[in-house]
Amino acid sequence: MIQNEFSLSLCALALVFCVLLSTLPGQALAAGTDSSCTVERTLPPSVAPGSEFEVQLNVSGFETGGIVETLPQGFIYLNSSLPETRVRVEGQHVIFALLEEDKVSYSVKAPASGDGIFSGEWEEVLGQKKGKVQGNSEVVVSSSSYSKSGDSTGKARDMVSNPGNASDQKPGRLPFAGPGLLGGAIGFAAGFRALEKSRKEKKGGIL
Amino acid sequence: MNLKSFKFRILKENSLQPVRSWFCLLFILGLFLPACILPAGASVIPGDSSGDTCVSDEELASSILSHMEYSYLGKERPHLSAEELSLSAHNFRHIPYGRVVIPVSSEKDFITPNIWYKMGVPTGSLIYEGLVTRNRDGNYDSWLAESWSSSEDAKVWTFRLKEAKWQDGETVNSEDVKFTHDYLKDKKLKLAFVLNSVERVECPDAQTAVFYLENPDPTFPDRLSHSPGIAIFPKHIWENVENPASYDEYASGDTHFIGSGPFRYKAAERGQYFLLEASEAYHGDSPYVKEVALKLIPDASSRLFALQSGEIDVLPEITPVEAEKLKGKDNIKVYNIPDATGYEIAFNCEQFPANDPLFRQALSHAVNRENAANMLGNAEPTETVFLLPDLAHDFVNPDYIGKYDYDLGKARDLFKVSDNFSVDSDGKVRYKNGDQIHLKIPLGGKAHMNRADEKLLNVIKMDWEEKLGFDVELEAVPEDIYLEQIGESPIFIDGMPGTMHDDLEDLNNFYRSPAGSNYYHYDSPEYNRLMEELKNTADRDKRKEIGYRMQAVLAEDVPTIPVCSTGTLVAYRTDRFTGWENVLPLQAGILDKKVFLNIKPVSSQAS
Repeated sequence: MIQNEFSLSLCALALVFCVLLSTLPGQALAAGTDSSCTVERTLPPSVAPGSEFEVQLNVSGFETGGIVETLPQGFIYLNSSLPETRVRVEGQHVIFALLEEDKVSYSVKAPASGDGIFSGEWEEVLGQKKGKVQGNSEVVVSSSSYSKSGDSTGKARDMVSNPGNASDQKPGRLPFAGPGLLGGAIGFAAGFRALEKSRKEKKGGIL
Repeated sequence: MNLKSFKFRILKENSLQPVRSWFCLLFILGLFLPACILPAGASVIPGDSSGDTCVSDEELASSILSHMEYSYLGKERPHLSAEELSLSAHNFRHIPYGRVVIPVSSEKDFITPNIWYKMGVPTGSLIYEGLVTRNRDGNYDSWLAESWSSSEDAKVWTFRLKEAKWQDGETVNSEDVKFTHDYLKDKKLKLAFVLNSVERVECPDAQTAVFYLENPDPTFPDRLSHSPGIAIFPKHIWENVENPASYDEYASGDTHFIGSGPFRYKAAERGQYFLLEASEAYHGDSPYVKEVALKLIPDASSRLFALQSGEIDVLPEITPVEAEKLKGKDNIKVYNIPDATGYEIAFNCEQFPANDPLFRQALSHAVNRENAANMLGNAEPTETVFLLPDLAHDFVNPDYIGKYDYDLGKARDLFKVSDNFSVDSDGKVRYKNGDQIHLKIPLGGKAHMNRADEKLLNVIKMDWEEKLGFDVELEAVPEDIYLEQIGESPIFIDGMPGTMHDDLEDLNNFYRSPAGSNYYHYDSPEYNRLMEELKNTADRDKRKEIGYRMQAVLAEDVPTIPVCSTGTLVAYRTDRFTGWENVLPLQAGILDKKVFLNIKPVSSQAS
């Protein structure tokens, strides 16, 4: 009985380990990643319903490549600082071709209500490196919002970059999280990912 | 079956299924059309849809967007792989990419084992630069010199230097120019002869070097630029080398191979390779190629195989036979760098019967230059009296182009009026005493490379023996006694680099100075006087006029019969780099800065 329990624990531990491995940040395992290249997004934390606001992408470590930004449902891409020939829009996805830029900004129209998470990925084409867009990701649409371009710090909340404050994280950010072993494993993995990100930030890799 | 009938047949046989038929047709067209549009081995840079070998911002943006759509949105596969997109971006950003591999037959070709003694570096090295360089148009391109000018008497030459860095970060300045001159002479190095006429070099400021010459020299930039020319060396490196002849270039490569050119030393392995990389310090445009590897492959057939297998990217100086073997091979193209070597039938004007100008004129009409050129394969007949039109341009006196056309009747007429010869009723030429004319022609020297002299003379010999009745004997002569032999022979064949036929200054070959003779033992007081005049004339138009008169004298006296000029055949892989043919070096061979600043990778395989 004790042996069975031990085996079960071992299996559970192995499963946790496997899940943990599979949920490590993609760019940490994929070939061609490089912490010297980053793209950081700046968003206002809250915007007025139906308002237009600007999203800024600051590129560091490379100048030639592509960025795919995925806008939350209801948010509408309007235009960008790049010529039209260097932008393609597919539904909620907007692709930017960077030739020699270190920043790109684009305008978005907010929906009447709700909030959303921006996500994005980038590729540097000379050295074939890739990664995820860091920085602000969430924007809240609120009628109490008075600033079109964000708060005085210009920073929005970044769900991932605040790993220590679990109360900030809404259940919806971890769609698979739930009670039980798997949920615990995923929760652990998310915590690990956040910890890893925090460690990188402390090394100055991101901010 | 042609496409039209094929299409018709599909429609006819499947008339009930037109949609399917059209689909089949489109499928087949889709398969074969790209192959029709793009010839096999086309040198197309990925992402360069316009074919101008430059990826534009629109072209690169389009490629990036397609790549991102494919990678992140699951759209259809783009035309370019990630590697090709990288190459395309390198081209757009003009960032060096890829490694070009070139075979060398001997280790001495890696870089001159002793760069001070060998061929002068400016045109022969990718690492070092001179002040100026000559191009095929007959003009000069600047290297380290931004501008230059001479005093009215052409005795003082002032060179203004560009802002340039040595590859170790030190600044190039006029002291380096002065040092190069002083070092060559102090150490009594072979290349010092190029600067024989220089009395001293002064540096009024860091960017200005002034050469003071003992005699007027209107062509001083030409002297500095090629054949062999002078490279400028960093004083801060070489002032510490007491004996430049004995340093170990492999052991000290990192420090001693410091130049100012577009490529810098990276690594070398004795008996294996010599590797250069694009220099970030270069003052001019960056090369498109990141690395140049010189790989030692001594055997000619191995070099040929290496090109076909893709081990090397380019194969310079192949023979016409080798070029024929490569014909039709996938991804391989052969091109010709014209006028690499000029071949001539030269006379010793002091030896009988060549001391008779009529003999020389008559033989000049008895050389079928067209046939001789065809015999060599990649040659063009030379119709001038000495200079090559494609290199010497308007310095060639047009009045004497084609003066001695191939006409045995005219040759016989000239023999008839000579006191030394008679012509039989059957057209055979004899000495006046009835003896047969016996000519013994030594084979050797530079003209003997690839047995070119023998091939040429076999064509000529046929005419001279069968139609003029001569007895011509060709005799291979050991190299060590060749020069001695031609001094005693009335007639011999010579091969000279094209760069010895590219300027009025080259007419000096026929000048007999008070100090001694010339190669042809030719001595014309009028010609010598004109040569002296040319040397002291700086004005281009006046020089040209003098040069024309000198060519008129040569046309009358015929100390030599230019026959043809051969090119250098170069084979290259079209699937690796493009642009080889866009820049033709002045000298034979492709190890030329201008060539390597121009070639561009077309395939990620080049990396």
